[in-house]
Amino acid sequence: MRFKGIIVLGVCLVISLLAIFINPIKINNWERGNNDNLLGMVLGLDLKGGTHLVYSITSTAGEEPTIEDAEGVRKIIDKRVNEFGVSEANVQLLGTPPNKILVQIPSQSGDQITFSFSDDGPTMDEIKNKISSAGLSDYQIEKIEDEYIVTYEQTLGLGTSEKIQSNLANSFSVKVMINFSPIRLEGKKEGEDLEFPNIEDLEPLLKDSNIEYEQLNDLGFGAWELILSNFGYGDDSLAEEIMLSLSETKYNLVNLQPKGELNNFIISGGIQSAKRLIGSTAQLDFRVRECGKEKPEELDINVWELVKCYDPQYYNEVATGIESKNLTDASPGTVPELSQPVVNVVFDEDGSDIFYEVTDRISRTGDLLSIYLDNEELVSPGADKAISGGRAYIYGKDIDAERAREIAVQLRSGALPAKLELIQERNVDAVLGSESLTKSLTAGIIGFILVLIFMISYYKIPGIIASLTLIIYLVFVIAIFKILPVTLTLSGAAALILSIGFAVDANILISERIKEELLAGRNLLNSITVGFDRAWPSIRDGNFSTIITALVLYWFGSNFSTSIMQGFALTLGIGVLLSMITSFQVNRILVRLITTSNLFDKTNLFIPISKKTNTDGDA
Amino acid sequence: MNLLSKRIYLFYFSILAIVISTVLLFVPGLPLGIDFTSGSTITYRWTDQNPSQEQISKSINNAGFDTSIIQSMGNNEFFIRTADIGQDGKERIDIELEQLIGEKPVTLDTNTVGSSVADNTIRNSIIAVFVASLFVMLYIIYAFRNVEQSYVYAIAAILTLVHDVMVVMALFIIFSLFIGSVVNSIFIVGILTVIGYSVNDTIVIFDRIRENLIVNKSMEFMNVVNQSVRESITRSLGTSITTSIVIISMILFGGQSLRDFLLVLLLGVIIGTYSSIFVASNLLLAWKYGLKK
Repeated sequence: MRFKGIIVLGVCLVISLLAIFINPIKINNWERGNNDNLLGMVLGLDLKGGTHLVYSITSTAGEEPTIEDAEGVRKIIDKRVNEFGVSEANVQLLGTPPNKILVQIPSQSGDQITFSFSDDGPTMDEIKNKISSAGLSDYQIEKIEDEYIVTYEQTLGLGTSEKIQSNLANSFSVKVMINFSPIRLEGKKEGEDLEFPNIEDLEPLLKDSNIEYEQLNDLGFGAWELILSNFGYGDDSLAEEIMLSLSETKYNLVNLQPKGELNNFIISGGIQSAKRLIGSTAQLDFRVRECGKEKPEELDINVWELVKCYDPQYYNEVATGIESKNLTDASPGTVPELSQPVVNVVFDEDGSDIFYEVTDRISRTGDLLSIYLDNEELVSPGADKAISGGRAYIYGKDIDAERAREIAVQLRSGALPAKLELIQERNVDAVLGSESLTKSLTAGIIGFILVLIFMISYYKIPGIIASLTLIIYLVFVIAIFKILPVTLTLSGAAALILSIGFAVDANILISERIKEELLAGRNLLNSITVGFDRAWPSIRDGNFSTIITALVLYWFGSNFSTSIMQGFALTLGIGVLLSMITSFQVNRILVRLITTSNLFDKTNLFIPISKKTNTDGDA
Repeated sequence: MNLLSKRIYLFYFSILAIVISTVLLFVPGLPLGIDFTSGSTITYRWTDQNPSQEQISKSINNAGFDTSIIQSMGNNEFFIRTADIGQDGKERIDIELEQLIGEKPVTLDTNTVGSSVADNTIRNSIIAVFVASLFVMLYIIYAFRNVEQSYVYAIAAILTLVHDVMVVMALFIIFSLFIGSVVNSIFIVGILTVIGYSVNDTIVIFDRIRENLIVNKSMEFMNVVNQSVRESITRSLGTSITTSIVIISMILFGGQSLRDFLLVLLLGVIIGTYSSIFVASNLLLAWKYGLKK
């Protein structure tokens, strides 16, 4: 029995220590401790810092926002960041009257850029060189097949990604491979009857079109190589220009293929996701798309069927009046009919009525219902019959699971009453100051060691046991916070200190009780058993009351977006539950271990110093 | 030793403490910091010097603004939030900074800024604490179901909690007059911590009373309470001394940014220990015997 306890304790302790000191921990997609924080914990804005975003606010008409609109923006953003699970963000209006909004969010998974070159791209060293010259250092880069992935722990900052993109797109030579088909000459013998363009045919055309290139090489048999260094990214206009200018020769241009150009450049990561979540208006609207009625004569009937509902020149759209404000709930999810994620929405009474009426109408006319988010079309389905019940789902080709979650949060918190534009993006240090925090942490550790010294010198053996229990408790708590993970903020740390206080308290209660039973004349083993039994109700009641309080605060915090309360309650709840278990079970295992080991006569060592001479129990 | 021999004086003392605390909460009231009020933001850059946050904080203090939040943005740039600097405050801060750091900073940006605590945060916190107290009362009534009138223990625990919160806030106000502490959003967390500590401390003593009532059925209630308080006093002091050791070492040797928060915790531990001995048990006696000798 006693060995079973020790084995279980040992296993838990080893697992917890591994969880704390291995960084990062990776099991398939599950990853923890992938940051450079203390022990790989997740730290909040006040302890670690994060991203500093400033948005300008303009009314939908492009003018200065009213105070009400600015307040509305603030409330909605507050709600969005809270609901998205960003703990303890900071949202403040700037300016009198307010026309900007400051949003500080704790460190997210940093920015990530994925890019690739079509074959024959630059070497890794050249790429690194160009990224550094865009002003980025301390990043990591890896190449997986043809894709380069740059990961940066924080936000890249406003404009940096554009600079990197432009550096990568415009500093490496791009070879444009061009092929002409020859002109067959009459009356020449085979092998000499083909005429290919020569340099005099091509050079003037390129010069006329002002195309700046470095070299133009004849590779023979109508194949040419045009080397340029400012090929650019994102549009094919340069390639088109080259094609247009070269197609003026009498030779037939059959192929034009750039090699080594940047053909993919995507930024992703937690900060990008947070920025989309905060900055977009999220105005949802449903429009009836009345398909074209009269077929123009020149169109084939099959073509007409394809375009009448999908080509803007033939259809006409009418607002239904269903907007973001008509939704009572939105949640990300899946539906059996589709393989992609959807956002389930629930309409209010007005919304349901209109939705029923509209679906009823289009099921008869064969028209479509177009769904727009911020004036971008998501999807335009038809309807087989009128849909009652006020529920629908929306999806779109660019909506992945992450985006579906963002949209759901946005729809739940409502559309912004004004337009936002990101004007500043920086990394910021901890609100409480990292220097100051390091000092406080050191002081806290010193204090903790003093507590251990106090307990050992006053309570002797029970004090040693209590100290060991406390250290084991701390190991468990840190391991659990890291694994879950719990974002540690100052309010969380306060709860942690309180729960350590509870753990100390429980251990002192037990030690005191054992001492009392010893003084009452019981033998050691008996005193320990009775002492634990008597201490338990107090520990239980005190801790249960606290857990109840934590549950209530957590519920309030999460339902009324008071994130500071939520963080406190979560840490307190976990901390106290664990403190109750460890201080009781671990303490008991250790006490039994020591008392049954028969090393020396210990009874005296269980009685605090001051009690030896004064055994009547008075203080 | 009869700790509660002066119970009637102690009772009036508690009443007086609550009355004085209530008055202090209105006049002068809690000193609200920049999380609750509007203020100013300044972004500075130094070309050569790389000042520490504490240096900047000290300069702003010297310029007459009690609290500030200073966040480094890298490249020797700092984002500062402080109270409303008005017309000439900026100049005073500039001068102080130049004196202490030895280089005049470049001002990149100044702005006015609204409060960072949402309007409903305080109201929500109060409602949440109220609801939590109701649940804790129900739990105490259940846990003490074996003793007579267990609801009395529940009510006494909650009244003690109210006493603790009021007195801690009042003492904080008094301290703020001397060391310039202010209430920021983290104060709410401090008060929540005080509440947790207070309830636990009270319950441990009540538990002892419960146990002794069951063991010594024939003993007079007053004696049971006295004995229980005496028996748990070493534990109460042990716990509060150890907790205070940690908090005091953090106040003395830790960073400035946590000082006000730790002050609330320290006051909470001291008041919580005092009240569990002298207020909570005294309320039980007042219920049983009234206020006559």
